[in-house]
Amino acid sequence: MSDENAKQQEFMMPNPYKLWENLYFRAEDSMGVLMKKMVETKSFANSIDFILNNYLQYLKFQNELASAYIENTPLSSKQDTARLAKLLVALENKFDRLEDDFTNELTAIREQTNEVLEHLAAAQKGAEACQDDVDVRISATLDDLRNLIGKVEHMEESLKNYLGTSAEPDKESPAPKRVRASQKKA
Amino acid sequence: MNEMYKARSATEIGELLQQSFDHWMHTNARWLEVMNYDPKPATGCSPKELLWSKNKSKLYHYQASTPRRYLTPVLLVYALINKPYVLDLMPGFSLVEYLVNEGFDVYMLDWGEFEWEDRDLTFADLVYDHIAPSARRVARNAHSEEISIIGYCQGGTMSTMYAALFDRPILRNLVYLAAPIDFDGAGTYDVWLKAPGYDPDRIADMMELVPKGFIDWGTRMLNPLNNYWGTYTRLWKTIEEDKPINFWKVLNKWTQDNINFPGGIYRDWIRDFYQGNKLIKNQIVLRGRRVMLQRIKANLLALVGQKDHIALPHQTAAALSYLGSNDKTYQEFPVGHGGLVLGATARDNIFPVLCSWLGDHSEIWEDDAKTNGRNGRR
Repeated sequence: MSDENAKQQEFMMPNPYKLWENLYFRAEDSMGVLMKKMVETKSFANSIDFILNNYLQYLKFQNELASAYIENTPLSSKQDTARLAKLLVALENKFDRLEDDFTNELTAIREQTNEVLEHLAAAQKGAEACQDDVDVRISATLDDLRNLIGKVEHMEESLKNYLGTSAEPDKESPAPKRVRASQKKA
Repeated sequence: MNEMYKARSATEIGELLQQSFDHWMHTNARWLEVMNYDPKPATGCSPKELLWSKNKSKLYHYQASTPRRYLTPVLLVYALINKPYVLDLMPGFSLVEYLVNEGFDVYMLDWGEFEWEDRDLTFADLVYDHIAPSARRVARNAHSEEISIIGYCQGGTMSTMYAALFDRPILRNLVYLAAPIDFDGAGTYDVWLKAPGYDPDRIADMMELVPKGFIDWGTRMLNPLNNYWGTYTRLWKTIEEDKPINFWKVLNKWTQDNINFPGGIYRDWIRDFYQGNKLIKNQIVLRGRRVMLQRIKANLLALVGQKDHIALPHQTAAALSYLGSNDKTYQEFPVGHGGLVLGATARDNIFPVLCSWLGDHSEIWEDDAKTNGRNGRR
């Protein structure tokens, strides 16, 4: 029963701060839309152009006056500093171009070197194959030569035996043994 | 803070009123503190190395701790308004970080801050002397014959000119993030820049180097109350609702971080693009060479924000009609201009779409190279 009494006594009241806040932000939104519409009109554009053109006229007058004054004083102007900066920028451009050219050349050289290396590798492979072929042929020739030498030696031996049997040589001064050049080499 | 007080006595009402008053005073104090004293948050935190620099511009290569999955590198080209760290705003809200984690080799061209000596620069200078060499260096560094370019806003327009003029390295993919291609019906800019009293030649001649404040004014005045005052009331509301304010601080830092605009480029941008709409008419000529949009054969992905008031959706959609690509994809998201790279929608919806498309259209990093590590040769 006491709870019911308490509930009955409870009352509600609007928060004035929140009310004001809601009111303000709604007003701001409406004003925002209004102002946005206003700046979209031609009359607004014309009026800001009028102000802008007057300002530009004033700026021209001010610049001319300042330039005339600076020209006759031993002070460097904004233009002088800008001129110097432009020279530096131009110098940087040259370096940049040089760097670009150098990189391009380097890339071209690298590509060409790669091509040359590929050619060389192919040539080396060919040469290796050719060398193997030559080695086989040389060893075959050497074998033939060895066979030939063996035959010649055999023939010499036979000849010696034949000569020994037909005429006995002087034992004190034996005949010099003849050695063939091919034998020496072998 | 509740909308309604529930109380049983006048004392309780008094206590609740006092609590609300204290909360308000605390909110106001913190609001003033954030605006005046709080240090600026760190931005552009992804690890990177400087690959190349020229004049004020710098080409960064982002370092990754995850294995590389795609051979085709990605070059980010930002606009000349504000600074490019919006693409790498903070950990967890960074396009760069997302791309790197997905296995892309990421590079970014940062234009730097133009000074008085740069006042005569033109789009031809930026395209020929900055974007083209950057693209070459990116391809060389990534050991790839092809690259992808992501152009944000004006960066997309400049990337288009580059793509139409240069064949090497091969541009495999071109991604637009709110990049204007057709300049007809450009919303409020159409009204302002085509007004009879608006003369870009006069502005470029008088100002020479268009000050950053002027550019900032032109951007903020598109929605003046929201941009000049609403920014700070939004902060107040965020503090009042006890929500984190770090994102607001980061965003506010970026929106106030403007750069000067070279007069030559300003003249070209307004006269040839906004007033003449010469890009889609193939009438842009840079150093004697005509920018022909049909020459662009790269795969195209155009992502736009439905609420974008700087580059309206149809301005980017025009690329589908004018570019010579065979593979074209267009997708809209319910965000504004910055929303394509900022915030939870970008992180949760837009980055995955971008990465998935880019992954499908990029060459895969080969397995044997993977074993050589992230920076191994192909």
